[in-house]
Amino acid sequence: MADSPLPVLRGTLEFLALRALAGGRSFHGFEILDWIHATTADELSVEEGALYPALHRMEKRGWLKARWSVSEKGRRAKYYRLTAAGRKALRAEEGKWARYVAAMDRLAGVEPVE
Amino acid sequence: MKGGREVGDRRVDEEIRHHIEERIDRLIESGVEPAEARSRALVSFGDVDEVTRELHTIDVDNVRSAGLLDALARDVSHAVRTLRRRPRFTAMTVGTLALGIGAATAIFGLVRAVILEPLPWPDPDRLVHVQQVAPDGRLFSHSVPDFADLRDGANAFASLAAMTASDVALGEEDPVSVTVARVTADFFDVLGGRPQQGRTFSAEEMRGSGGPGTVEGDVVIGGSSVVVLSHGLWQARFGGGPVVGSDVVIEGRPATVIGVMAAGWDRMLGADLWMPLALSPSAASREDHYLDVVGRLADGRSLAAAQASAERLATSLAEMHPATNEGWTVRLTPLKRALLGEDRIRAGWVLLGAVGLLLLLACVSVSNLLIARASTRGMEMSVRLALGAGRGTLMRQLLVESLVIGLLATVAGVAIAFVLLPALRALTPADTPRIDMVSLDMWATLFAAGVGVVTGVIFGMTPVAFAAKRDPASALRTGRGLAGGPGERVRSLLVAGQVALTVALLVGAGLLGSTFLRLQLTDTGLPVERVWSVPLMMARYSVEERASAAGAVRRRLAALPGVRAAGSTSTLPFGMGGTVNTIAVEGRPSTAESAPFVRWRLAGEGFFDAIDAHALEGRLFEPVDFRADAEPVVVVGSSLARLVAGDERSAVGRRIAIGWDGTNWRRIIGVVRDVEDLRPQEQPPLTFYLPGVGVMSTVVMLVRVEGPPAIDATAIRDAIHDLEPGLPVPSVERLEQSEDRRLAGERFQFLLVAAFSLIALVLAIIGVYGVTRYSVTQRVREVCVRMALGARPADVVRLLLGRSLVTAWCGVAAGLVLALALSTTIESLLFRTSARDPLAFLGAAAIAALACLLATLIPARQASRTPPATMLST
Repeated sequence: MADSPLPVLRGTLEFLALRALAGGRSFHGFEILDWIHATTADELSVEEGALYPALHRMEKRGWLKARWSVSEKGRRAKYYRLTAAGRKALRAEEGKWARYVAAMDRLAGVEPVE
Repeated sequence: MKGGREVGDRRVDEEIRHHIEERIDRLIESGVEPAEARSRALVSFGDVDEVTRELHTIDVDNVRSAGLLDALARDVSHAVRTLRRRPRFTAMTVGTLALGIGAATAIFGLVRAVILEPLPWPDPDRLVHVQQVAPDGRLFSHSVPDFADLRDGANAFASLAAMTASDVALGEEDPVSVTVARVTADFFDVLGGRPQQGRTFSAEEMRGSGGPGTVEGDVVIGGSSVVVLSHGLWQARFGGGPVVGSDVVIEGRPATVIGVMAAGWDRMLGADLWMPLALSPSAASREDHYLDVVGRLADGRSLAAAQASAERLATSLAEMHPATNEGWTVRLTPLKRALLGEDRIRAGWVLLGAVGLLLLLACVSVSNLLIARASTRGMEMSVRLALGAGRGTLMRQLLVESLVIGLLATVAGVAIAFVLLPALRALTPADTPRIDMVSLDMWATLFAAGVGVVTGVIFGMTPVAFAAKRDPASALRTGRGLAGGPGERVRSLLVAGQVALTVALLVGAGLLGSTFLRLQLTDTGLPVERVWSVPLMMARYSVEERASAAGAVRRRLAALPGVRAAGSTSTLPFGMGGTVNTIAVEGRPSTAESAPFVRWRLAGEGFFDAIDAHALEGRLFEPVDFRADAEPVVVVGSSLARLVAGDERSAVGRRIAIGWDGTNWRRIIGVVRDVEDLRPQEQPPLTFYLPGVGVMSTVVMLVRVEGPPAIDATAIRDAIHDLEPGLPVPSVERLEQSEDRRLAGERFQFLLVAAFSLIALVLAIIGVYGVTRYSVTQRVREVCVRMALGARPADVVRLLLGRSLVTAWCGVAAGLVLALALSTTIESLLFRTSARDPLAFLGAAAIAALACLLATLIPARQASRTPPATMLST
């Protein structure tokens, strides 16, 4: 029996979205979610609605640039793209995550990977 | 970000919709039914509304760079949406504030027009009213020689003028009664200001003589036949058309119109037209005081300096004319105070103070509502802060929300004032000067709006201010949100104070209401519903002719079908003023100070029959008493009879003298019941009646009919015009109507205080409601636990009521104490009502206590009825 998906912590969602866009492509919200599910093999349960505030906040901070366009299915959709500032933020977040994960691992009694 | 909110919103919605549509497609692809797919898509998205709002908030934060106007528009629309989501809260806040603003604006408009506006003349502060002061301290008009000496001798005045007013008939056919002020040469110059049309009197016209209606009582007055019209008369009688140079008829004699004054003049002075007054000081007595004197202070002279200078002159006059002027002095009063009256000015300020207090109460109530609201919004604030919304944004949104409340309340308040003002104007006693100038005052509105907005902002900001102090995370953990506000004790104190003031006002309304009721129920001793009063303007007749002319009219009226009796007297019942004198009682030493003041009337033939009065003792006047060579006799009212002789019976045959020095003795031949047609402050009704019709220019005919419908004003007018075509009959009315008008002042006081206390009550209820609601929200968890443990709704209600109700009832008690302390200050306004009237106190307490109970019960019951699960989950 599979474990139930892990809830996403606050802040994680932004990190995940940044990672989704790190490849340099423009994604709309649904595609970003798809990417997260695909990459994490459905291990993380993302409350779908929560993604959008995260995107808008990052847009406001200047990490993302958004533009409206027509999707492959012919629907109007809002596409997000990483900016230079966003790329820098992503690197900083990655660093933080690494430390965080290491800390959690120690807490969990797992030997740090040397 | 161009394009404003509409586009922004649509795109936000579109983004979410796009997501959901994608999800539905995906679900359908995997074999889910379309309807099922739709609902599952919505569930997996989460709270669409909440996310939409959140996105909007983030985007609003985003627009700071997009221009202030755009941001403001977003904030305003956000505020409007927030307020619309809570219609009851919005209605209560806006309504409360609007009530305060509306009342304040209306009252300010009234007081400003009547009291605060300066007089309509240049340099109005330099104008003074000059009166003579008798040795006993009573104020008199000037005598002609005293005025002349003052004008020529006191150097503290730039100029001085005198006037004397009387009622005359204007027009030939269908004449109307108008007030003419005869004025001395400098009158228009003293006040200053040009006529609106034409000119004022020339020096020649001032000297001329033989003008119409030159006999005033025993005083002969000269002056040419030229008139200056007031603006009001010009409009009413001449339709505002060209009038200068045309002739009018005054008391049957022609006079030429030479000018029209501006509107402000008649409003302040109460004259319809002006005519020249030529004085002959050498021929006039220093004992006849009938000139109203106005002066303009000389440049650089203060009121005190002018007063001192006039007093020095009075002293020298007393030395020169000791017989008439011994002990007499003068008093200068600023003209504004003299024209408006001390009482009226004080009443104006009291009104302003009261309405200011009312506004304050409204602000307290609103603040309580907003704080109660803030406590329910604490959670929202915490969540939003935790989610990263800027504190500045929250502040700005709340600020705009409060401003919107303030503005809505101002608009509603002005609308209330707009409705209130005409009602207020109609209620104000008709003799109030400048009452027609009362209008919605822009400054009052602005002031009230300022207060409203400032209140809204200060208390509207409270939620953020308190949220800022606490850590959002801990607030979220405890689940109570960032609730809080200024000390609960402070707010309870404010509400208790509010309730206390309301109780005090209610007591005042009760006392004044009882006064009004008692005044209305008091038997005046006059059959008011069956007696018509008919003032006849006799100025056209010579003094000798007046009695016979009045007699002819009397006989004519008495003969009309349906008329029981008609008789004349000298003053209008229920009129202002009247004639009073000191008297001396035979066998009792008296001085000017100790002699009683007694009102007197002339009683012509048929007078007692007309008021349906019978002799309680002795007899009433008979034809023989009216003869010139008859023994001087007098009829007295029963109060005076008791004062003279201890009881009514033994008064008959005693003698009293008119004038305390006891030279003019008259024998009492009869006693009649008292007539109480005075104002409450003017009792007791000591009165005596002298036989005769009188030589004054107005004779009042009283006509008693069989029943109210027996005869009407037109029939009376027609009968008089039949007999004397040119005789104006200004106002035929039933005494009932005169009585009603006399009570206008009391009615105004009572209704005003009643209205004030009603508004205060509503505000207090809202205040108590706010406090209770707040404490209810604070204790939601406790209530849920208790209910889960089996407490019944009634227990919960009792639990929640407790504190607020105690607070409110403490307020009631404090209010009773306050009223007890304050009620003596209105004692002089009360009539046959004790300032400690238990009914007024108990009634006020009961009303307030019940209202408070209701105001606490509603939110408490609401809480007790909410299912615990809902409460816990919120």
